[in-house]
This record gives sequence, C-alpha cells and structure tokens, in this order.
Amino acid sequence: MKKPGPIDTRVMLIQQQLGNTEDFKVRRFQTLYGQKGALIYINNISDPKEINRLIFPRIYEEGKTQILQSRWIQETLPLREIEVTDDDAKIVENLLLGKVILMLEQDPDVCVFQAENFPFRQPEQPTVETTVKGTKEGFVESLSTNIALIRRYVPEKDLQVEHMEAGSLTKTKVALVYLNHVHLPEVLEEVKQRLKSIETDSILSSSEIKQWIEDNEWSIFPASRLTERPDSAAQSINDGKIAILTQNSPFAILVPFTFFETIQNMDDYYEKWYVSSMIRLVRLIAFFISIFLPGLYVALIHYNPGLIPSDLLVSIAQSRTQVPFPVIWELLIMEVTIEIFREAGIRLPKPLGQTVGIVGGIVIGESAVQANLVSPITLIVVAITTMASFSSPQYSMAYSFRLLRFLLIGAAGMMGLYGFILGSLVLTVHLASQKSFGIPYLSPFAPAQYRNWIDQFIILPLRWRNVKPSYLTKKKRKGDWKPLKRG
Amino acid sequence: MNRNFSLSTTQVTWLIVASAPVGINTLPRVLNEQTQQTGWLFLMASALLVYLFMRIIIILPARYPGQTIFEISSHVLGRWVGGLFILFVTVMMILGTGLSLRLLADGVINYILFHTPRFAVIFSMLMVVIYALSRGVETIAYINEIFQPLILLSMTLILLLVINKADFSELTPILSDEMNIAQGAAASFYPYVFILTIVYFFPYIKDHTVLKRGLIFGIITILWIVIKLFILSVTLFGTVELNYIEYPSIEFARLIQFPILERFHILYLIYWVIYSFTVHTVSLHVGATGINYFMPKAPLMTGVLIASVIAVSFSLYPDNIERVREYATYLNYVNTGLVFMAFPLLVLIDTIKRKVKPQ
Repeated sequence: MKKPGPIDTRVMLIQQQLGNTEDFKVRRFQTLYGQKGALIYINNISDPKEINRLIFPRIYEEGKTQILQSRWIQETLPLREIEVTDDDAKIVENLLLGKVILMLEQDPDVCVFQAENFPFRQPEQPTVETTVKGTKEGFVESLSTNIALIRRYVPEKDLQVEHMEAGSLTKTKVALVYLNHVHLPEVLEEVKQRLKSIETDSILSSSEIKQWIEDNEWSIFPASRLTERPDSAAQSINDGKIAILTQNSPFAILVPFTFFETIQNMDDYYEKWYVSSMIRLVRLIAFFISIFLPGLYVALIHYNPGLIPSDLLVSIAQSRTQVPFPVIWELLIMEVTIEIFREAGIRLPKPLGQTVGIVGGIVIGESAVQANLVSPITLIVVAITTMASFSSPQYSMAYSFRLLRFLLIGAAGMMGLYGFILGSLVLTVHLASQKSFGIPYLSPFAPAQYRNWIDQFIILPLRWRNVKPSYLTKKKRKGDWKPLKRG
Repeated sequence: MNRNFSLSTTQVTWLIVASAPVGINTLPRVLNEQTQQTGWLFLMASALLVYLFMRIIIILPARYPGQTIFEISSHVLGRWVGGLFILFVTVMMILGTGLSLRLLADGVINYILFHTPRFAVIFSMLMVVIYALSRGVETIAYINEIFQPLILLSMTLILLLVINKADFSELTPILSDEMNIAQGAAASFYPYVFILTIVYFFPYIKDHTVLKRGLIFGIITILWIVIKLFILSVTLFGTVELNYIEYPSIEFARLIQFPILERFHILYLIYWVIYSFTVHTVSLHVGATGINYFMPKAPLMTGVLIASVIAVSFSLYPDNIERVREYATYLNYVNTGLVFMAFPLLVLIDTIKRKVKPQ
C-alpha cells in the first residue's frame, strides 16, 4: 500500500469536506523534476480540457528543471484568470463553483483556474414578456450572460456592477447593475442593506429576493418590477433605476417601482407616439375595468339599479329571473371558477391548457347559463374583467388586481355604492401609503412632480421625450444615506 | 411625528381645500335665505377677510419655525392657558367632524342607502378615515393630492353639463333689498370654518413661502367651489325655490341628462362621499393631534380613537337635520371667532411680549 504523501493528505482533507460524492475528481501527476501535483475538480460542472491543453504542456516544459510554485504559474501563464489561495474553505467553495484547482508538492498555495461548465441555455425569446418590435432575446439563468446582455445595451463607462451573495446554503450570486452618475445613492445603499439583511438558507430565484427586499410584505402590490427583457432593464438603468440580477434566474428585478409603471411597457417606445398613447389609454381603461367593474356591477344591480338605463335594466332583470342566487354569490361563483380554469391552464401542458380554456370558457360557461346557474350578463362581466386583468404588462400586478376585485365585491355587497366607494378609498389610501425603496408609490402624482406627468398616460413624440424621472435622478452625497422606514 | 417630511405648495393648497366642510353642499340655500342673489358678493368678501386674517396668523410659524401650534401657544400664553386654548380648538374640530359625519350620513341615507342605520354609515366611513390616519401625515397629504383635483374636475364637469339650463337674470339686481348683512356674513364664513386645521400642519411646512402660496391658492380654490355652487343654485332654481331645497348641489345634479346614465345625481354623490372623506381625514387628524398633546407618551392612534369616539357620539346626538344645522351655526360662530379674534390675539400677545422682552 502506497504511503500517502503531503499532496494526498491535502487532497484527502478537501475530499473530507465534500463527503463521499463520486463526482469529485483528482488527476495526479509528477513532473520530470520529480515534483508531485494534482488537478482537482468536480466532474460535470467543470471543463478541465482547457487546463489540460494549456497548463500541462507548460508544466511539462518548466517542470523539467525546477520546482514549480503557484505564484510563478499565476504570473507567467497567459490564462484569463488565475487565483492563488491557501485557504481550504475557499478551495472547496471554488470547486463548487466549477473551478479547477492545481495543487503542487512543496507549495502551500494552490492555483484556482476558471473552467466552469454549467449547463446554461442561450438567450431566447422571452416567454412572459412577449414583444412584437422589441428584442427577441431574453435573460437566461446565467448571471454572467445576463450582465453581458446589459453591457451590450448600455456600453457606458459609468455602468457599475457589484456582486453580493444571498442564502447561507445556496450562496446565490446577486449582481447590482446601475449607472453611477444617474442613480439615487440612497436607493442603492438601501438595496445593499436589504440584500445583506436576507437571512435564509436558500435563494433560488429573483422572485424570492424580490419578496425579501420588499418595503411592505403585507401589501398586495409589488414594490419592484421583474423583467426578462434586457432592453427593459437597460432603459430602466438609463433612467436611474437599479437592476438586481440573480444567478439561476432569467428575471431582473428593477427598483424602485411606482404604481403607474403598471401600464407602461418597453414596446410603447417602439411604436409611433399616438399608437402607443392609445394603447396606454386602453391599458388604463382595462386597469379600471379589472378592479372596479365586478364591484360596481354588484352595487348597481343589488342596491342602486336606478343608475342603470331603464332598457338595459329590463334586459338584465329578465336574464336574471331564473337565476336562484343573489348577484354577489353568482359573481363570486364565476370568479372562483375562472380562477380554477386559469390555474389549471397554467399547470397543464400547452396544448392541453388551450383545451381546458375552450372547455372551461365556452362549454361550461354556456352550460352554466343554460342551467340558470348564472345570468349571461354576469358571465360577460366576469369574462371582460378576467381579460382586462391580464392587460397589465407587469405580470405580478395582474395577481394584485384579481385579489382587489374580491375586496371591492365584498364592500359593494355589504353597502352598495357607498361600500364600493369606501372600498376604493381604502385602496387609494393603501396605495398612497406605500413606498418603493423610499420613493412614494403614487409618484409622480402624489407627491405631484409635474415634470414627470408627461410620459405617464400619453407618450410624446421622441424628440420631446428627453426628461428623466426627477424622483430617480436627484443626486445626493453618499454619506447622506439613512435606513428608510419600510411600509 | 415625522418632522422630516415637508409639505409642498400643492399639498398645502389641497389640505386647505380639504378644510372646507361637507356642509358647503347646503351653503347655497343657507346663504340664499339671508342674502338672496347677493350671496356671491358675501362669499368674495369673506374670502378676502379670511385671507387677510390668516396672513396674520401665519406670522406665528415664521416666528417659531418647525414648532407645533401647541408649542407656540404654550410659549406665548404659558403652559396652562396655552393648553386650555388648544384643548378648546381641538374640541371644536372634533365636534365639527361629528356634525360633518352626520350630514354625510343623512345625505347617503336619503339618496343611496335608504334602509341602512345611520350608525353603520358613520362607523364605516370612520373606519376608512382611521385607516388613513394610521398611515401618517404624508399619506394624508398624498390622498388629498390625488382626490382634490378629481373632485374639482368633476364639479367643473357638472357645471358644464348644467350651465345651459342656468338663467343668469336671477342674479340681478346685484344687491338684493331683503338681505340680512350680519347673518349673511356669518353664513358666508362657513366654507372656512375648518381653515384653522392648517395651523396643526405648521411643523411640516419648512418654507414660509410655501405656506403663503398654499394659503392663497387654497382660499381661491374654495372660493371658486362655493361661488360656483351658489351661482348655479340661484340661476337654476331661483331665489324663492332654493329656500326649500335641502341639498341644492345634489338637486342640480338631478337636472343633468346624460346619454348613458340615469339619475346622474347619484353619481354626483360619489364625489360628495370622497370629498367628505378628505375633510374628515384632515379634521380628525387635527383632533387626534390635539388630544395627543395632552398625552405625550401615547401613540397617535390613541388620540385618533378618542377623537373618533367623541365625533361619533356627537354625530348621533342631534335628533334631526334641523338640530344639526343649529349646532353647525353655533360652531360656525365659534370658529369664526377663532379665526378673527383668538388667533390674531395670540399673534398680538406674542408681538407685545417680543417688544417688551426682545428675544
């Protein structure tokens, strides 16, 4: 049995930290001068081909006449990045990141070579934020690819990238990307503090980070925006926002985020101003419909039918004569049914999902009307509301709209039009009290920043649109930062 | 109290507009009873007078920047007298909120919820107001920035929709023979009955120019609202018929014929409910802040709850609308006295003290 030498002992020490995993690989060698060494890596996540091709010939040549040292290799080898360390914990950490370790006898240090070979897909067309005229490439799960994409869109010397880690177990890499001369320093500092304060074992996606750093975890409104489009992220960075990219997640978090950005989309700027303005107004109308229509319907039918034109009222009354439920129950049944269909449609494979949509939407809807379980007008109200709720370009806002509907239906069911107004007031107060990283959620309308009113609902021609949002570009000294009050 | 927050001119303007009580919807009738078609002149004169006296009152925050009205009055009048003075003003604000809630409830029951108990209407509104107050002064300022322009816009829309039915000859002769000048003057001060609420926001107004601008814009906006309501009511109904109409502003909304909606006045009530919400939020905040002055260690919400209980109790106390009107008249007198006498006197005492003992 071969007596373990110093190299073997050191390799064993590292292996002990990684347990009995079988993808731990050690390639031992000896130079012509007699110095022993080992190349250590984890199979499947590292690609030592490049190391084999570049390092071994050099070791072979130089190792004929002298003892090799890690420092010497670092200084003389023309490789893109070589790190030298003697810290065992750091060696293990680098191994898990897919790097290759070169260990040499009589040398307390080791060389760490970049040779990561994680499986990543190439940028593809975004699946959530589809676009007609915008970019056809979306973020992917690779952090470095995502940063590269942003750098390609913003080739600016002031573009800064700062790396952080989140999750004590997963050690997920997080990158903050911003323009140095535009962003608000207090927002950046706040983002960093909140990222540092994340106390959890596992962070696997941007959505988790988004929840951790939100201003008010009880609010149903998102305090940041998720995007999978690099052009959206680049435009936001140009405006002074901060993009938070997460390893293994194809979504960038953009902060701060204000409520009226709900109806804005990057595609708006790719069309002529009047077309985009019209589309934004349609989205605004859809926003009002998706939140207010069912509640208003309950209030008017149940308490204040006098507001409805007589002819329409007669028609509605006739269609409801056979329906055994009060309008509020009728509406709630349909809303819950639609939610079930929607959830089933997402989980099922795409072709099946479409089938569920057809079966749910047409067959069951039609049957429910024929069986007098719901009136046709209720079905129309629920269908229009559901479609309208998905008109927001911000996907997570659609969830908020759906939840709000139930609040207003309940308020209208209890106190009619008066309850509906009170419910709307609660909603407005809640929105007015929210902040996104210190920026009031209803900016630029409350507080009023008249300069930023342009480009909210109506888009102006390109040559007139040279104003950045003032709430994002106010420059302060770095030392001015104080922790912001959340909520 | 978050004294880092600073109000802008727009926010001060809307807070002053939110101080105009809900009862301005009945003002055209009350003013018409005393002044007939000349009421609009009284409204203009009272706006000018209120502005002049408020300009005197806002000398105080210029002399004591960043201080609350409690600190200022304690400094000028001494701890006990200053405390009693503020207690009196606070109680008036809370009672005013109570009457305003009652007017709202009666209006809602008359036009929207015919069989709902008055208490339910008042209590539900109060819950929303308390929620708004729990979010702080910043939120109060923001909700006014959102709602007040919409309210003004909807009122202007209504003006445009009914103006074709107005008979402007009803406004002549400009000076009526049957006007009661004293009663008319008192009635015309009613829109400014809560204008003193702004003194409770002094610590949040860092720049005195903001206060001065906000004051003038706020008073002009209130004047525009009440003059428009009065002139429309007189020109649409005439001075005789107007005396018998309880809520003139709602009645002239009845005249609107809109192609899609029937009974347009019910939609108009939406504006009224939202407006009353902004008024109650500001006035109850003032009441709660006043109560908290006497309980410095208690959180603001304790003051809010105490003020709410008093306001609800007082709102349910009057037997009928006539009683409400009677109490509102007394309150009007007291608040007019506060604007034209008590607070200017506070400025005068401070001036004398400064002359005698320069600081």
